[in-house]
Amino acid sequence: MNAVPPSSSPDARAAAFDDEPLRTLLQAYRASTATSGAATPFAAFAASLAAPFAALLASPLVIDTLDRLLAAIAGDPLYRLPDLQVADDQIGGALFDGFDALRVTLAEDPRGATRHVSGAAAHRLIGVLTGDVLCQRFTHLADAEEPDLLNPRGPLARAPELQLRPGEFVALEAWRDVATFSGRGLLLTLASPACHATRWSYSRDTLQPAALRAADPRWRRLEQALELLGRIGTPQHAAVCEPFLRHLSPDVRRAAERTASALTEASIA
Amino acid sequence: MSVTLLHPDPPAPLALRDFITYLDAHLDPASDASIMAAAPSLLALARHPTFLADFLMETLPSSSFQHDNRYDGRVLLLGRGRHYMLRVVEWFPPDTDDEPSTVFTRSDQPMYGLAHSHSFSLLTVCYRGPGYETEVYDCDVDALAAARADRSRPVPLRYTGRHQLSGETVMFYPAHRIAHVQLPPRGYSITLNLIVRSPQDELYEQFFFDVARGAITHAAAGPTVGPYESSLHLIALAALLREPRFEPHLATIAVTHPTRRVRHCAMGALRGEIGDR
Repeated sequence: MNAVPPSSSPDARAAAFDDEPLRTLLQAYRASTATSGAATPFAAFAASLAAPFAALLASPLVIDTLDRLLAAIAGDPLYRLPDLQVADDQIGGALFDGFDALRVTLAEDPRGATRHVSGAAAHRLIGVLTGDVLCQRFTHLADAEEPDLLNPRGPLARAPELQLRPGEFVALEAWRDVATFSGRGLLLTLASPACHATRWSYSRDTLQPAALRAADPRWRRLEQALELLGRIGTPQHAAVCEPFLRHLSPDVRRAAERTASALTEASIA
Repeated sequence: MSVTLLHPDPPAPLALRDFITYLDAHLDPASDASIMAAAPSLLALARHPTFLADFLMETLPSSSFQHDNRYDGRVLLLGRGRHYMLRVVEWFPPDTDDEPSTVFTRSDQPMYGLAHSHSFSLLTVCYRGPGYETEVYDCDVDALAAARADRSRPVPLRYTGRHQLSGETVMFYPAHRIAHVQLPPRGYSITLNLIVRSPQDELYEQFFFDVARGAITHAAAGPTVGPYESSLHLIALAALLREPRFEPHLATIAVTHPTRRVRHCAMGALRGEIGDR
């Protein structure tokens, strides 16, 4: 690991940046998730990525990165990170060279807990970078007959809580495992590609499933764009709908069907 | 300076690529005149009957479709440069069945009926439908500058009229100098927005106002992530790490950053607080 003196320039810091743990993890991630479109099995995901994830968690890479960026902002208030990925309290791609599956998040939302607990459509490794974090875990005891159909009678069961310290992490299976985190700390999260089209959310009070959400929020954008095309397009634009008729999301598939139909009907009329 | 209504002679339709080329070559983000000079080209783009459908046809198949779009609502990004962004916004009347009357905020707040300023200059025209109406107020810029430092200070808003967006009129809202209230359109509408942020614009946030009291109700970081918003995120993360190496940077930011909220956040981080975000 290269030591970076605090007085060095942002460029010098970038040159001295040791990203070996990140490159190793990225390489393992690509190998683990390259399964020709099929969902990655949880056991394979966790087994192949646990070691490089732990190595990254233990490395000073996040601190070095933040040091470099803060120095840049202190030197120039208008310093702009190229294509910074931020969502709520997360920072992702900009810290990790566009590797969006890896994110740094605050352990606890400073605005307070919501009334719902969110499940995930992806497998995840979630570890503590700093702080002392309480992980409350829940699990589905039975297999879902169909994870993309909400079953209100399939509540979560509580699993033992974990007090996580820096360097420690949990592995969570898509749909089956749900976790919430509290306490002052920073988390590092590595997520697989989505294994299901939807994720479930649950009442925090009763742990009953309450709603289905799209696995990937960007799918909503696809749905809206297809609907917009249905309003403004011409028959010549109908062909773009075809690949979306087989999309993982039923909402995207329905939007593609409606738009293709509307544009084709316009052609007949 | 108030809102400006521009009525360029009807130009020949312009392709999206040509409009982007124009912006890259001519737009000066620090000049109101330069932004307004783009009005005829924006109107020409709006007169192109299929540019938006063509854009969707071209970009929808990409796995990175709208990957950099941070908006929650019905907003699409058509292109961006160093200091500008071109977007499309869909507007739904309040009684529509298929979409709630909420638009393009990061936190799903309904924007209809809320007086707000912009942290960017906006040139806008209607592409489809009747367009929305808007009630416009001039902000007292000196009072706004004082209120940035002390939110309890009044910000007098002077009503300058109600305007209807249309396909013939291009409206120009200068950054940080106008507040407006959008009213739902009579029918489904699509607008084209050219958003321009000069380096100076990027340092300050958007405000929401109580018009009757002439006061700021709250500030909002926009979905157009600039250095101001990214600084707040990074400082919040740094606050939790308590890394001694960060302290000189945070101390510099706490003293020299031109934005009060960022200075405040950096001071909090030095004390180990996550800060006002």
